[in-house]
Amino acid sequence: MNTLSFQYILLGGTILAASLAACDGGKGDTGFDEGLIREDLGSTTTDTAGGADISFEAPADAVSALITCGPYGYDTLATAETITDPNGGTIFSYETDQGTALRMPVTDDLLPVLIPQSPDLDLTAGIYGIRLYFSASGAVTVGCNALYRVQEPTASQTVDIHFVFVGVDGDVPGLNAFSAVDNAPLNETLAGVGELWAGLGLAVGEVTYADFAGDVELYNSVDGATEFGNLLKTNTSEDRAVTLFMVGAITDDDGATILGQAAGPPGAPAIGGTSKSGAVVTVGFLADGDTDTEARIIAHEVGHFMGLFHPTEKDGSGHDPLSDTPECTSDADGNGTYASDECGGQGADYLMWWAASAASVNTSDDQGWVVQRSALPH
Amino acid sequence: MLIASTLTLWLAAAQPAFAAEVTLRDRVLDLVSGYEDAPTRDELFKLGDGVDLALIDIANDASVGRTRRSSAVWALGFFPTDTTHTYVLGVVQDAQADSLLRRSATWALCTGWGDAALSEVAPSLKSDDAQLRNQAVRAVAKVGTPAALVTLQQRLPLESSAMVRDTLNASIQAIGAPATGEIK
Repeated sequence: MNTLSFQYILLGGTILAASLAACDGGKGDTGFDEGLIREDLGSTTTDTAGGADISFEAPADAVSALITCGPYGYDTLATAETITDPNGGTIFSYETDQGTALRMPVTDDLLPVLIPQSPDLDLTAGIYGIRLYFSASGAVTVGCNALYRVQEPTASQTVDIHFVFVGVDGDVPGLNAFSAVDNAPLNETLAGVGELWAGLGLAVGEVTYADFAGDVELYNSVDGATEFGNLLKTNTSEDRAVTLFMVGAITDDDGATILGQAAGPPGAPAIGGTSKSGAVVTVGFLADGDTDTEARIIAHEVGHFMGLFHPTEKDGSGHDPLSDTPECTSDADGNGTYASDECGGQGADYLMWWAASAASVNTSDDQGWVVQRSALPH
Repeated sequence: MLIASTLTLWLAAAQPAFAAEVTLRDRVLDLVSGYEDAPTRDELFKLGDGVDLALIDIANDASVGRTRRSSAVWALGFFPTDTTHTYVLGVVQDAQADSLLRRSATWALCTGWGDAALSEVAPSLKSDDAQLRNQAVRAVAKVGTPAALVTLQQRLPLESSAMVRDTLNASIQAIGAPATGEIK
């Protein structure tokens, strides 16, 4: 895809450039790529049990490894069944994942595997093995790639954000790539994102804006997993920036309205052209003047994109792999939902809580440790 | 609005069995505030009686924000009563209502009343709003019955939007097709 769109760059509150940019991204594009190593791991094909094996060798100076395998389409789901470390020890098993320091998504089309996800299990140099599992009835062949971050993290990194407006000027009057830099609610939102990320040791970095050059009518409302994945695939940039598609509405496969959706966790930062290459956020709260909630959605979804999980899932079925985030174990009324009021002080006050509320603002040192090792911040 | 004022009185009088400071409405609002997940039928039913009225109360509350209100309207499809039917049908028929709410009301009608709602979602299928028409097609497709198929087939030659035509064609093809792919 080689689409054209106006792109505006904001840094430190000043427009530095406004240009007609070719948004086809591509490896070696103009983005900040220092500190990353990309490696083609080749392809693998499933056996009769739906499994496939890959391995990768983590460089000595790598602080994180993001392995991606795909594409395999939206009708197939995949996950990591087991992961072994350079010593041959099993550090992840899908059947007992809650007892490990890793969590794996069960996801369509492209599987991202991130190590580490917790300070309790750091990445070590050497050869890791991953046993993949695919739900397809027939054989599946996927290509796998590794993205190693070899840049030491610091506690003062920035995250670049690339906004892509998908025909939202009807939802938020006048909001487009040209006007965004002066849009007061959007700037309030960005300030809010910065405040929420401060505890993670992150700040909002360079902010760029573009108008979506594809089928605006189709993607103004992102409906279901396939549209979500296809929209993210239009982001072909491999810059170290998170692409946020700002849309009028997001609905799931049953038509229910949701607030946001990030690829992952984790997503595929600095990897273009995949169904995991970004996040989608509704502008509904921006339209309502609720910039606090809009900021919370962006900060939360990018948190997922960088590898953070909910401290406790809504149904209590899982927790993040971090030691210093509270786990809610109090379903006081026994109805199977870990409601925010039941989990006060047990995670509901954290940014990565499953529901958006004004109280959900906290972050932890371990969450900061994880995101600072993502390929995204620099 | 009669429904809204009646609800306010009812909700004030009927304190649910939660801690004193947490109301049923709070619990329902929590569920429609999930970032990535909408409330499920099971989650809402387990909150006990009065959830449908709490959903309508939230849907009517402009201070809540239209995204959450939209989710509340959508969830009314899990509670097919005369009261909820009157409410969602009213939203569908109100051409001045917010598009997001009308889309969700269209879904609620199809979810809650199935074939019986097919004629009632006609305003959505004929709307000037292509996004609303698109959601109506998806919702009718979800009904998945022969009558739903006929509704979609009748709409196809009249549809002017390429997006909606694509959804129509895909929906017509999909009705009856088995789902595939489950993780072990």
